[in-house]
Parts: sequence; C-alpha cells; structure tokens
Amino acid sequence: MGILTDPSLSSNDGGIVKVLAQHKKKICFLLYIASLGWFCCLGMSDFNHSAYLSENALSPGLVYTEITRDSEKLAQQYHTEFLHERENHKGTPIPWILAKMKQIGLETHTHNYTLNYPFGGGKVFTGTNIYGILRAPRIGSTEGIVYSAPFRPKDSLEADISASIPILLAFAESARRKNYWAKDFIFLVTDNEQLGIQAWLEAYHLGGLQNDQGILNSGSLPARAGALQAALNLEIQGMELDYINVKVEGLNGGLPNLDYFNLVQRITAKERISAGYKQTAGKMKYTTHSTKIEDNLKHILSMILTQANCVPTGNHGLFHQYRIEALTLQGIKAKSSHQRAGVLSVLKSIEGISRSLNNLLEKFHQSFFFYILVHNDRFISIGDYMPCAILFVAVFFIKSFLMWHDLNKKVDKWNDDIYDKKCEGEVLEIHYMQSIVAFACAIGLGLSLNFVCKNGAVSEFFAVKFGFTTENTVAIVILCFVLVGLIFPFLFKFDELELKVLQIGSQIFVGCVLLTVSLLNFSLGFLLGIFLTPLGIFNEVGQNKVMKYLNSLYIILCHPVLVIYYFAVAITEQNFDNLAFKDFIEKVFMAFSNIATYGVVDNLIYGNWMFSITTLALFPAWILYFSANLRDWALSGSSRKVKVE
Amino acid sequence: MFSRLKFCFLILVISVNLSEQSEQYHEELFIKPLPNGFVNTFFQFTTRWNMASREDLLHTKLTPRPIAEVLYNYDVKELNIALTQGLWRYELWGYPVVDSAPGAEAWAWFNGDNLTESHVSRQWKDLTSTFSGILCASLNNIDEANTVQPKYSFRPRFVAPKNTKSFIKYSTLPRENVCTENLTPWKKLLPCSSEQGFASLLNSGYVHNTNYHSVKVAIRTFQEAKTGELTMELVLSANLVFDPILISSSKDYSIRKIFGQGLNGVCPMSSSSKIYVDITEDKFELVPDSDDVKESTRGASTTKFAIYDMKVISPNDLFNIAFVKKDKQNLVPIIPPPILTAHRYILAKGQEEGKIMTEVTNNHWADLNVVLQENIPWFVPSYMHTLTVKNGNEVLKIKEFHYIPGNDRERPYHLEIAFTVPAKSTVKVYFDFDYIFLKWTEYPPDANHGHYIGSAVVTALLPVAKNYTTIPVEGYLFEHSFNASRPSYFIQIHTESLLLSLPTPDFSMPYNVICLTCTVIALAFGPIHSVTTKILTVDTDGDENKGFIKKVIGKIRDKIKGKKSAPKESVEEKPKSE
Repeated sequence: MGILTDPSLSSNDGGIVKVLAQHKKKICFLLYIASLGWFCCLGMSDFNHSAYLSENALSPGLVYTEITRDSEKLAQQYHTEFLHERENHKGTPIPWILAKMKQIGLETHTHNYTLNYPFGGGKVFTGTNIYGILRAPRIGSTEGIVYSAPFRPKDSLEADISASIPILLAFAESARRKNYWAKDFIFLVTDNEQLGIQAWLEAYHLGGLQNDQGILNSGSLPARAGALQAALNLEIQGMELDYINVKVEGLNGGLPNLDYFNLVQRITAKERISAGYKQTAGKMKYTTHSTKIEDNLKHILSMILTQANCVPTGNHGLFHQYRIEALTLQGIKAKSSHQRAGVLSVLKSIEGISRSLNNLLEKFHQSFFFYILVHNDRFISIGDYMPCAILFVAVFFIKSFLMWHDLNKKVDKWNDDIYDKKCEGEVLEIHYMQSIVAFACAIGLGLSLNFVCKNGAVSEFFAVKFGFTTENTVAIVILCFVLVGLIFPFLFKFDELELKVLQIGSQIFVGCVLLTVSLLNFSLGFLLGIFLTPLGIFNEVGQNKVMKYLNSLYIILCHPVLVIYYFAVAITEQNFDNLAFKDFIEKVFMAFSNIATYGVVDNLIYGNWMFSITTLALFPAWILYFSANLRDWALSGSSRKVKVE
Repeated sequence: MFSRLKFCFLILVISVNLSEQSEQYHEELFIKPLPNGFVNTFFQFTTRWNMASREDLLHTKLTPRPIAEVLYNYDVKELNIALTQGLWRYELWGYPVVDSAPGAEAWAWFNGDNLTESHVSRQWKDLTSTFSGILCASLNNIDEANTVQPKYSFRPRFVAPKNTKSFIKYSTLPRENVCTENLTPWKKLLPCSSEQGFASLLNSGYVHNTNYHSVKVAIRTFQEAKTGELTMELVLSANLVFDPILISSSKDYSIRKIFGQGLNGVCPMSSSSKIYVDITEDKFELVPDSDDVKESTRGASTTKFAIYDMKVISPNDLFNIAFVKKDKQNLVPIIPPPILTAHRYILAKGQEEGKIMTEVTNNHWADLNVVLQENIPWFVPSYMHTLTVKNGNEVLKIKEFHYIPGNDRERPYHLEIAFTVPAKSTVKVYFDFDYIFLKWTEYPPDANHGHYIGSAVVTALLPVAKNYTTIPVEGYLFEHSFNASRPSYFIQIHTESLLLSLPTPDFSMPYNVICLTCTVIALAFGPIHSVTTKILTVDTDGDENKGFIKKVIGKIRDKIKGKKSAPKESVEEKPKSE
C-alpha cells in the first residue's frame, strides 16, 4: 500500500514512470511478443486442462438406452418416404411431416414468417417452419428442449442432409412412448437455413412485439413449451455415417456451455461413434498424449479462425443469443463401405443426450461459457487465454498513460519556466476542444456509414437512379466514406499538444474496444490485437523519419477496407485459378462487395456484430490514427511552435 | 348380561341409523375417454353433514376430525385446496370437472361476526399451516407476500347469514411438487381410507405415471341464520389423466391396467357408489357393458353416460371395466378446441427486461366477457402503465380494472381486468417487467433452476356447455350435472405457470468478496488515514526518525542506486489554511 503514499508516482520523475518512459518502445514490443508467446504456449499441456463435467445432474451414460432396432427400421422407412416426398414436392414437404408428427402423437403447429429484404426494391421471401411438441408427462410445460433439423432442398449447394428429419422423427416416435420426460420436447423442422431458425426463435422469444418489424417479420407462435433449456441441431447426411462433426461456434462467436460439449463427447464415445470438434475422417479420439504442440496450435488456430468471423457454423448458433445452449451434430456420410456408425448408434446418442438433459434441474450454469478447444478432451479456459488479450491491451494503456504524463510534464515545465525564470512566451494551455471535435467527427463518420449502409432507401435510390445492384451500392457507399476518411485529416489543424491529446484519445478508444471484443469473442479480439497493437506501439508524435515512414505504411495497409480486400483477393484466388488480370480485378471487386453486403444483411437480420465493429470502432479508429500520423508529418515539416528554446 | 349387550347393540344401531340420516358419504368415479386417446378419470368423495348447531362439529363420524375442528375454530366458510402435478391441456382434453392451477392452489372465504381484515389474515395463516400438516404440503409458505384478495374472479359457493361481510384469500405455490407424500395423507381423510371402495384404485405407483394428476379438498358450509342449522359439505376429489400408450403401449385399456388393480368392492360407509363412463363418442366397447345408460342434455350438447351402480353390481368383489377400441384403424382425430382457452408465456431477450403475455382465445361465434386475474410475485416488478389489451392491432377497452401494486417482500402484484373477447379471436394481454437481483439469501435452493410465477386465472360465463362437466353450484354429486341446463355456465381456467430465470449471483462470490474487501480495507486504512491526517514531509537525512522497515527499504534502495544519494531539497507541504 506504499503505492498510495509513494511520492515517486505523483511527482514527475518517479522511478517506475521513468523506467517506463525510457524503455517504452522496448516494453511495448516485449508485451506484444509476450502475448504471441503466451498464445503459442497455450498448445502445451501445462497451459490447458483436460475436460470434465461440472454439472453432476448430467451424469452421462448412467442409464441404459432403450431405443431399439424398431426405431432404426422406422428411421429407414421415414427416409425412403422423405426422399420420395422431396422428389415430388417443391419446398418443404409440410403435409408429410405434419402427418408423421401427428401420427406419432405430437402436438403439431406451423409457423410462417416473412422476410422483407431490406435492399433491392422490396423483395419478399416467405418460409414455413414446422414443429411438434411432445408434452412431457412430468411437468406443466415450464421447461423445454429443442431438437431441430433443417430442411434442405435437393438442389441446395450445401451438403445433402436428408437423413436429419427421418432420424428426428424416429427419435420423437420412441420418446413418445416413455413416461420419464420432465421437459417438453420440441421437434422443429426449419427451412431457409439460418433464416428459418432465426425467425422461429424470434417468434418464440419476442412474440412479434419487437419494434423493428420491418425486415424479418417472424410473428408469434401458436404454442410454446416454457423456458428452453438446451437445443440439439441435427445435420445428418446419410443413414450410414463415417463420423460426427460437432459444431459449436455461434453468432458473434458465442459458444455452448462446455459441459454440453463434453456431454456429447462422452455419449458418442459410449456409443462408439467417432465424434468431435472439427472432426475429420482420419482423426482418432483421445490421442492427447501423442499430439504435439504444433497439432494443438493448428487446432486452436482453426477454431479461432472459425470463431472470429462471427458467423454461426450451423443452426445451433442462433440459439446462443437467447442463452439456450445449443450445438450441431453433423453426421458425415460414409464414403467407403467401411461404415463406422449406423442410424441406431446415432439414435442411441441422441437418446443418451436427451436423458442427460432431462436430468438437468438447473439450466447450464456451471463449467465454462468461454473457452477454446485444444482437443476433444482438452480445453483452454478464459483465465488462461485472456493474458494474450490483456498484454495487447496493456500496450495501448501504457502508451496513452506515458503520453499523458509527458504532455503534462511539458506543459508544467513550460509554465514553470515562464513564471520562475521570467522567460518570454505565453502561458501554455492544452486546448481539448478541437481534439474532441475531431474525435466526435470520426465516430460520427462511422455512425453515418453504418446508418447509410443499413438504410434500404439509399440502396433504393441508387437502384432507381443508376440501376445499381445492392452489392454495388454498398461498395460504392463504403468507398465514398473511405474517401471522406482520407480527406478528414485536412479538415483540422492541430498544434502538437492537440495532436497528442487526439492520440491519447484514440489509443484509449482502441484499447477499450479491443478489451471488450476479446472478452466477448476472444478469437476476434486476438486477431484484431495482432493487427492493431503495432499501431499502438508505433503511433507517436515526433519520431524519427524511418519510423514515421514505417508507421504511415502500416497504417495505410491496415485500413479496414483494405483488410476486407485482402480477404476478397484470397477468396478469389482460392476459388478461381488462371484468371486474366482484368477478370481477376472484377471478381475481386465482386467478392469485396459481396462480403460487405453480407456483413450489412447479417447485421440487419441476425444482429451480427462484425459490421458494427468495423464501422463504429475500426473505421473511426483508423481515421484517427491516420490523421495523427498525417498531421505529424505536417508538423515536422513546419517549424514547431512549441519548441522555442 | 346378555340383555345388556343386546341393549347396547340396539343403541349402536340406532345411532348409526341416525348418523346415516344426518351424515352421508358418496363415492363417484367418472371416466371419460379423451379425443386424443388419453383417458380422464375423476374421483369424487362427498361427505354431506346436516347438523343442528355448530357444536355438533366436535362429534365427528364420517367427516375427518381435523377438518371439523378447522371449521369449528376458524371463521372459514369455504375452503379449496388443490395440489396438482402437470398441466390440464384444454385444447386436447376439453374442460375438467374441477380445474386447478399447477402446483398448490388454495383459496378460502371467511365470514363471521365482527371479523376484521387482520383477523382474517391471521386465520388464513393458521389455516394454511394446519393444512400444511394435514396434506404434508408446503402450504405453510403461504403468507401475505403471496396472497391476494380477488375482487371479480371468485364467487362464493357457500351460504352465510345475511348482513355479514365476507373475505376471500387466494394464493398459489407454483413450485410445489405434488407427490405420494401428499396422496397418502389425502387418502386418510376418507372414511374407508384406501382399504375399500374407489379409493383403493389410487395406488401411488400408478397415480404418478399419469400425465396430469390433481387432488383437491373442498369444504363449504350452509348456515341458516335463524335456526343456526349448519350443513357441511366436504368434497375430496382426484383427477387423473392417463396415457394408455405409456401404460400398456396399446390403445385399449381397463381399470385394472391403468390403476394397477381392479376395483375392490365399495366402501361400506357410502350411501352411493357409482361409476359414470362417458360413451358419447362411442369409440370403445365396454366390458362388462352397463344396462343403465343415461343421456344428459345440457346447454344444447348431449352427453351419454353408462352408469355402473357398484352397490348393486359388485359390492364386495373385485370389479373391472375394460375399454376395447372398436375402430382399429390408426386415424389421427381432429379435435375441435373448446370455447375458451388461455396461455401464458414470457417474452424476453436477455435478462434485463421482459414481457408477460397472456393469450385468451375465444373459439365461439359470439363475444365472450372474461375476467383475467394475474397474480405476480413481488420479485417480478411489473409496470402496469405498459398494460396492453389487444386483439390483433385493435386496442380493447378494459371494462373493469382492479390493481393492487406489489411491494417488495410484502405483497404480490394483483391485477384483475374484465374485457370482451370478440368472436373467433385471440386477445393478447401483456405488460413489462424487470429482472432483478434478489438478496442472496432469498434465492431458493437450485437457484439457477429459476423462479416460478403462478398461473393466471381466466373466469367467464360460457353460453354453451360443450365440453363442460362441472357440477352446478347447488349440486354436490356428479349426477347433479345431468340435464343441468342454465342460462350460462361458470368456468374458471388456469394458464401455465411460468419459469423465470432471474439473474443469479455466483454463490461462492460473497465469500470471496468478503475476504477481498476486508483485506483491501485493512491494507488501505492505515496509509489513507496517515495521508489524510498528516503533513507530508520528504526528509533528506532524517534516517534516525524513520521506522525500522523504512530504514531497511532505504538501505536496500541505496545499495541498488550504488549509494549515490544526491541531496534533495526538503519540501514541506503545508495545509492550506487560508
């Protein structure tokens, strides 16, 4: 507690501050390296933990599964019928599914929703979800579990998952005959991929009363089953499976409770199905001891890359926003005749998972909600990975503290000189006004970009006047704003002190954004940190020229739009080989505008943060850094007013 | 000696005869195959006792002693306590004979001379505590914080002397789990217990395999003001809904299959002992068939009953009725919904604020006037200025409005509104509430399970008696509902109870926080105290005045700096005294 009374901190030339100020570059660089180093260490078994179940109520595999060969036969029969129906029926075979659910004895309902596409002149899409509720005998409909299976038409670009609905129905049929269920089961068939499930969840939890009725009009549901405790999404590709891939990443990088993932691991292991996170054909289960750090790091990185783009990997991902634990079982069809898992073992796994979930007295609250999977049975908890983000963020705060300290010292010294030594000159004061205005303008620019992109009227205007497509409009709007951002620094004239204040502000802003993002979605925060931290390290007024050049170059390369552009190039490169340069540029532009438009649409319909973070945080931050850098050049060019003596 | 014995016997016979006149016991069982394949069984055990004066309550015969004592000691004139597991599904099952809320529900009417509000509150507390013991339920948790006084929803079913004021108390405990431990003491209130008669069918093991079961104790009294003559009516009823598929995995069933054993004769104490089977739908063949088939026309809908008078058929032997499905085809029935249904749910995203939504649906071709009662616990702060009653986009007029705002830990939010539900439409009633943190000792065990909000009660007068089997208010036996046409039919339906996940603290946190805070305060107190009370003086060569630790630190610092201690100016900060 000496820290409170230690005069070295409050005085100007204190020990710690002095050391920090002397070696700030080194220290900041060291922090950056330390963060990366810590991240690499996460692959070592000392830095991660082996999986365990916290919630005792789950007790996986405690009961004998009761599902029989009859259910398997039924599933096969349903499958044949389903394929036939899908062949003859355009869209979801609603009557067939309804009939089957009714026969089983479920309470069946349909849910219609409408999407008024925000762009492109008011296109309207409609869809229908079908659901059947198995009312649990032991409860008064206060709690429920959702089993969902998306319907995919035959001509879908995605993998065929025709076995999902038959397996769902076969499980419903067997569950109907049991009297021990203590949570209502909702068997849900959705269409239009993630749109269907989003509409259904909105209807369930918001009941058509939300203010923003304009875009996704989800309405309300005719029947409900109380508070939803968990959800299981099935994407089963065929009746004979090779392995099961468990998908966890949800919207904005949300993850299901680790207990749920572990439960699925245990149950599938018991049923002798090869299953796991990012499972591949060759991967074996439980091989931790032989895995090397490189393999672990690769696994971690692949999870980070998936999680960082904020897009759910399956229908489960949209449940997380309502705090319903959910994941997807993606059954991969066996390619060879050597089949590893049949329908019966899948059904048994589903039954095992259900019975464990049925045991839950409290909703998932133990174990971890923030984690990174190193392996199917090893994970890194939030406490272990957060140091990476903290070290990144520390750079910004240390730098801004030192700048602030420096600034005050300079001003005090100057003023003291005037008073004590009767030097000539005016009293030096820090003018905050212009910096604050600049800061506010940058944020305002971001806000207006956000608003203009999301506003359907703008795209309508362009579409009507110039015949642009939505994608082109969005791209053009973004480019316009980028141009404004480039002109931005020339609108203000800062002196050195104001520039410093601006820099301090932007450092703190980026630090806060980084900290928040990495708490909520570590993967995104970490990736941003890798790119943004060097900005924080090098950003300083009055450096030598080489550093300044490097800094400018880095700032320009780091422009958010350019970063999206790199991705577009990478995607185009990957998808099309041997394109002529002109075609290539065209394709890249298309890819870029597609990425931007998807960002906007995802933000509008699903509430994806990516677009908001880019427009409201990254874009203004870039403008601020760019301005500071550019004005710094201008200042060093002209004679410095402040340096009189 | 012999003659004396004979005399005693004679007296006994006379007294029994007398008691039969004044105290009667009836047992009834109503079985109704439900349209969705389930089967509804309703047991009703009625004791009716006419007595000359209130003092007779102390000499009980068929009526259980504790119940008579309750009536004697308290000013309670009507009491209803129901313990229910599961939810009655109106859409699939129609209306029950007696409706009750999930969990425990209790309400009572008090009436007496010079009765005041505080008397009633105390008596209500005592009464529920008494029944907590009688039924082994947590009714003792009923207190002022979860009791309301309905104004419009409940009507008295008792008769009291005129010119006296009546008080009502109503409470629900939605968290209550109903189990065998409630059923056994309930059965003990019956004259034959579960030894003989219809109660022998209530086997715990089978009762709890039902999709819905509800046991109820209902008492009411009729008192003549002039003569002081008192009639007491005790109705013990049990309502069980079975799913034959869960029991026998076929659609046929029998009394023996669903209850685990056949009917073991009749209770010798009973005046009547009858089974009524609803055969309107005529989907099942009854074995044995009954010759006594009655048609009951009530409010333009006709119901057919097969009646088995057990006193005649089989007073002592085991008896069984089998239901064999006539049509073996596996058809899915289309079930027309009953006239009035209601549902309730929570609308919320995140744990900050939400809406409680109640939907009341009228499937009739004419408008229906309903009264909706919401009983919201105090820990769900509700904002009634946001109360909206809407049919589609049209805002409906609230005809009657009764609202008592809640008070933390003292009083629930109680809302009663009357409005008209237009024909063939669904009215949505909703208002906003906040999620709050409770004191950490107020969370129940398994705090993350959530908190329950009791069901809402919708009261209406139905114009037609479709699906309606309730016994009219002046009757007390099931057969009194036969041909009981009235201008309108009083109905009360309950919605689902709700499970609300309030934000929960990390329960190991208080310990951590206490430890941490204490440490921080202890460590910070000294320095802060000295900083704020002393004048700071940086001393150059005052090593002698320094404390031991500072000396050591100073020496270490000197060593690090290579004993290069430059003389500093002595700075003195003086407190500003101007």
